[in-house]
Amino acid sequence: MAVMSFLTVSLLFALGLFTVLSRRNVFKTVIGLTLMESAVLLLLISWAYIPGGSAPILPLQGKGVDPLPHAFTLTAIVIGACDIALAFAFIMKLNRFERSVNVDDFRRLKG
Amino acid sequence: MSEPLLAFLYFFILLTAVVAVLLDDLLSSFISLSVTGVLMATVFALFRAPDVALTQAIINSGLVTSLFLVAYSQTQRTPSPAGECRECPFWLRWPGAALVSSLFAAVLFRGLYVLSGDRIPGSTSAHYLSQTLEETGALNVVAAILLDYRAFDTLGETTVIFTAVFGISLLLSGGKYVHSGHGLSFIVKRGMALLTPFILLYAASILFLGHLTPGGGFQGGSVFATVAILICVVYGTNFEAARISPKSKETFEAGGAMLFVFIGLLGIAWGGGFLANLSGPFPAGTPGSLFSGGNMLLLNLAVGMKVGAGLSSIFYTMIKILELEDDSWPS
Amino acid sequence: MTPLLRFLGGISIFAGVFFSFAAVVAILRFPDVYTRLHGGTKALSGGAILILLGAMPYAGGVAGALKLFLIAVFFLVSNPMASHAIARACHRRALANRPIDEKRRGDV
Repeated sequence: MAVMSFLTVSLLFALGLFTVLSRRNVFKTVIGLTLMESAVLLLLISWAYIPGGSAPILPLQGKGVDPLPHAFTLTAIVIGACDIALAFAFIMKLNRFERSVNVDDFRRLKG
Repeated sequence: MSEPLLAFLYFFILLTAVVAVLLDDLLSSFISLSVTGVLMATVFALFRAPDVALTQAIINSGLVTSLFLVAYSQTQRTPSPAGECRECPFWLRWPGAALVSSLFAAVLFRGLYVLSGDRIPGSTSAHYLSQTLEETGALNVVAAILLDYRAFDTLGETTVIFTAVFGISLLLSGGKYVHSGHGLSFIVKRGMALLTPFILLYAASILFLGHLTPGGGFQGGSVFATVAILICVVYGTNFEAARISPKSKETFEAGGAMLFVFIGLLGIAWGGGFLANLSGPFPAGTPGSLFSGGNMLLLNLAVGMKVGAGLSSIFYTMIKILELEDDSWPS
Repeated sequence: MTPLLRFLGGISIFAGVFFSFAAVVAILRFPDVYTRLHGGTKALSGGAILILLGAMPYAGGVAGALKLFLIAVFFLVSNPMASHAIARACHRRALANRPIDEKRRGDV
């Protein structure tokens, strides 16, 4: 089960990396970033699971799962949403100058 | 927890992710991405992480999709003939990018494979699971970690939210109304008026009971922001700005941060240290009641104010730039 | 009593799954935007409510069953409202008698 989770994490991260590298639409870059962040969140939560454990709410029924990666993941989700919102604001601002969402058109600082 | 169910969910997570990557139509790919988010929330719930599942479903599937829709409606795109550029180097076209990504996935999987032995929690986690009730008085261990043991990191996280709101307001400043929407039809307005008190009650219960049940300031604040977004969409932006003005949103956001820091300073004044909980002036209370856990109730309130006001002012800043050349906004 | 309720709940969940599948088929196969919306929302509302009501005997006690019932009521109020908003938006854009262009190249 852990091997299955790690396989999914690697494939999801690779999908996000592929999107960021090869797609020319800047919205697709945001999709790639979201997929990479989701892969990391899945890795944290699947690593925190102890087989037969219960949710970390007291009183515990049996063993509890590891609560420290849960706290870290909560922080990561909120920060990920904030940086995606900032990315959308950048896209809107760039679109006002260039009238396009193609990455190859944002070349004002080149050479 | 059954492995076939997990394999089924993982397969669909990967499938919807592939669909989101490869589709040309942007709307469909983002809706596919939000389906990936919901499936991941289900996987988190199966992995016994209810707090994280709630946050993932609300923020990643709800809020990010609505922010994308605002950004999508505000950009003008000319459809380009192909999805990739012709004069890019090898590593930026899809065969090279696929090669790089698969190499990366192989190396990552090989590195993670050594972690797949028996899982033994560290001594810190064992301490948190056993000592939370005596040391903080709260029942939700994850909330106790976020608001007592690691409360300083939560203060940093609220600063990140503030930075995002600040950056977005700076980037998109100077817009003004040309055309404010009149909202949707009468049926939707009446239906929304029926549902809004219950959504607000749900948000308040997530926020204030965050130290007892899964939830807390982030989740409750996000649902409050969702209510503001819904009012913006259903009743029109002018209506929402008149009811909850941008000035009051800024006051709420700053008020949340100041409340957080003030509670921390109270701990110093009592001699317990910054953000001290039970070694400060805050009573533990009876475990399981609303007024328990020391300062966690007030900290949840501060975080909820910050997150709710911040996210709704992000949405409002993005949607108020309406400089339309044709009258295509549905009103 | 409880095994009978669980059996009825299971039948209700199966029926709900069938209706949801019918909603997907409607969205994929119908020719026009209005027929797709009609089939999708009716079948989807019915399917989701049947699944929620069928899960009630499996929830933890009366409190859990009542929560699921309230979720079903909320869904019944909000989903038709959302479909009405979509249909009205389609009408405002005059998408009336245009067949859906499957080959349209979206933005890239």
